[in-house]
Amino acid sequence: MPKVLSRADRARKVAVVTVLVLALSGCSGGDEKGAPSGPEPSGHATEQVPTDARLGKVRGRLGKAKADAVVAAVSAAVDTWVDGAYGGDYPRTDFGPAFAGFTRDARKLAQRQPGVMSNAAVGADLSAVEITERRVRVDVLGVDGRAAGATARVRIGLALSGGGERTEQVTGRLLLTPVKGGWQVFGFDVSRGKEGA
Amino acid sequence: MVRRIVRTAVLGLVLALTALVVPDSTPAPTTLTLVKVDRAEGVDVDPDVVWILAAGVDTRPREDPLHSRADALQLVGIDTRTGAATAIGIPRDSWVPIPGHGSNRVNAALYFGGPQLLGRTVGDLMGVQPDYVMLATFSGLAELISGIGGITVDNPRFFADSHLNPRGWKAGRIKINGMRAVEFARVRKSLPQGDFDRSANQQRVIRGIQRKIAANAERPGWIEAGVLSVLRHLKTRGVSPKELFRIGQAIAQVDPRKVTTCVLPGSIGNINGASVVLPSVGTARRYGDDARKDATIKRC
Repeated sequence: MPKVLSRADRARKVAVVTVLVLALSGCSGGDEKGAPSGPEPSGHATEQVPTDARLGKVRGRLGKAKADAVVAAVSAAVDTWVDGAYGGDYPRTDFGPAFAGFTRDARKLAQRQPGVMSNAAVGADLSAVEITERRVRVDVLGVDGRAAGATARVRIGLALSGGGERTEQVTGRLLLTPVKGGWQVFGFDVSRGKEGA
Repeated sequence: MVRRIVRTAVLGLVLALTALVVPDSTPAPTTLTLVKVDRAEGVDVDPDVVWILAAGVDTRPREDPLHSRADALQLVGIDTRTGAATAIGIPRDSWVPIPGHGSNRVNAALYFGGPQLLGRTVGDLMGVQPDYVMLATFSGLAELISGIGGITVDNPRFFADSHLNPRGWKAGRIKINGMRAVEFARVRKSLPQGDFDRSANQQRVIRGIQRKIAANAERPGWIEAGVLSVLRHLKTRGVSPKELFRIGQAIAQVDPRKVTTCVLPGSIGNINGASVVLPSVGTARRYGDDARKDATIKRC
C-alpha cells in the first residue's frame, strides 16, 4: 500500500514519540498521578490481560465523577475495537464487529487499513493471538461541566502465532465524541509495528 | 517489518451534521466566527473534502466583522481521507462579479451581503463553493497564534514595513508570534508582487499554524486545551464544543507534507480610476477543478 509505506519514516518517529510520551506521562505525575482515576481494570475472558485505563489530562471544567464515567465509557469503546480487531479466535477473516463503535465513515477508512486497524490482513494465516497489553489514557475536554470530546491514547501489545511467532505493538490515538448511549470513534491516528520499534 | 500508520478524522461527516449556522443578524463584534454557507442542493463537492473560506477582517471595536471588508482571503480544502490540504489565495482587490451587486472588489462581498455572499462570490470564481466561512479579526488571529505559542514560517525574503515593523522580518525560517505574525501577513507595499506576495505570506502563516497544531497533537491534552482556547474567542450561536473538538482534531490530522498552496494570478487593471486586480478566471477554475476531489493542486 504505497501511501502507508511512504510514511514509514514518519511512522517510526511518531511511534517513538508516542512511546516516550506515554512513558513520561506514566511516571511524571500530573493528572495521571496515583491510583487509577477510572474504573477498576475491566477484565474480560480469563485469557485476556485486563485493560489499564486511567484518566489522562482534563482540559476545562469537569467533575471527578463525570471524568471517571468518561474513562469507563471510552475504555469500553476502545475494548470493543481491540477485542474485535485483534482478539478472538483464529484463523478467521471476519473483523466487521471491530468497528461497531466507529462512525460510518471512520469505519470505512479503518476497514481500508486491514494491516493496522485490525488483523484482517493476516487473520487467515494466524493460529492464535494473545493480547499482552491494553493501556488506555483518556484526555478529556470539559465544557461547562460536561464532556465534549476525548482522546484515547492507546498501547496494545500482541503476540501472534501462525506464520512465525512474533510480537507487535499498536499505538496511537482514537478520537471520540459522546453520542447517545456512549462514545463514538470519529477519527484515529494509529501505528503498528514490532514491539519496541 | 515496516511500522505502519493510519490516521484520519472524518471531518466531512462531522461538518455535514453540524449546525454551525450563524445568522447574519448575530450580534457582533466577535473575534472568530464560523459560518455555515447555505447551499441550495446537489453541489458538486466530494463529501470527503471540506472547503472553508478563511477571511481576515480589519475591524475596530464595536464594528461588525460580519459586514466589513475582508482583508485576506484564503480558500482552504481538507481531504479528511488522506490528510491532504490546499490553500488558494485570492488577492483582496480582485475585481469579480458579486451576485446581486454587479462587479466589485471581492472583499466588498462581505460588506454587501455578509459571509454568505462572500462565500458564494468566491465559490463562483473558483468553481468550488465553500462549506464554511471563517472570519477572524486581526486581534482574534493574534490571540489564536499566541495561544499556541507562536509559529514558524519560511520567509523567502527580507522585508519591512515602515509603519508595522521598521526592523523587518529576516529571510529564512523565522519564529513569529501574536500580532507580529498577523503583521507578517498584512504587509503589501514593500513586497515586489504586492497583493500576490502578501497572499503567499498569509499562506505561510496558515501553514505555520497547522504545523504547530500537528506537531503538538500527540501531547496529552494539547488539542483539548486548544479547543478550549478557541471556545473563549469563538462567539457563534449553535456551535457545540463537541463539533469544535472534531474540527480541531481534523486540522491536526492534516499532513504538513501534503499541503499545497497557490495564489490566484491576475493582472493589474484600472476600473473607474481605481487600481484593481483582474484575476485569471481560467486559472481559478483550473485550481478548483484540480483540488475539488482531493484538496491537492498539482501545479500552480
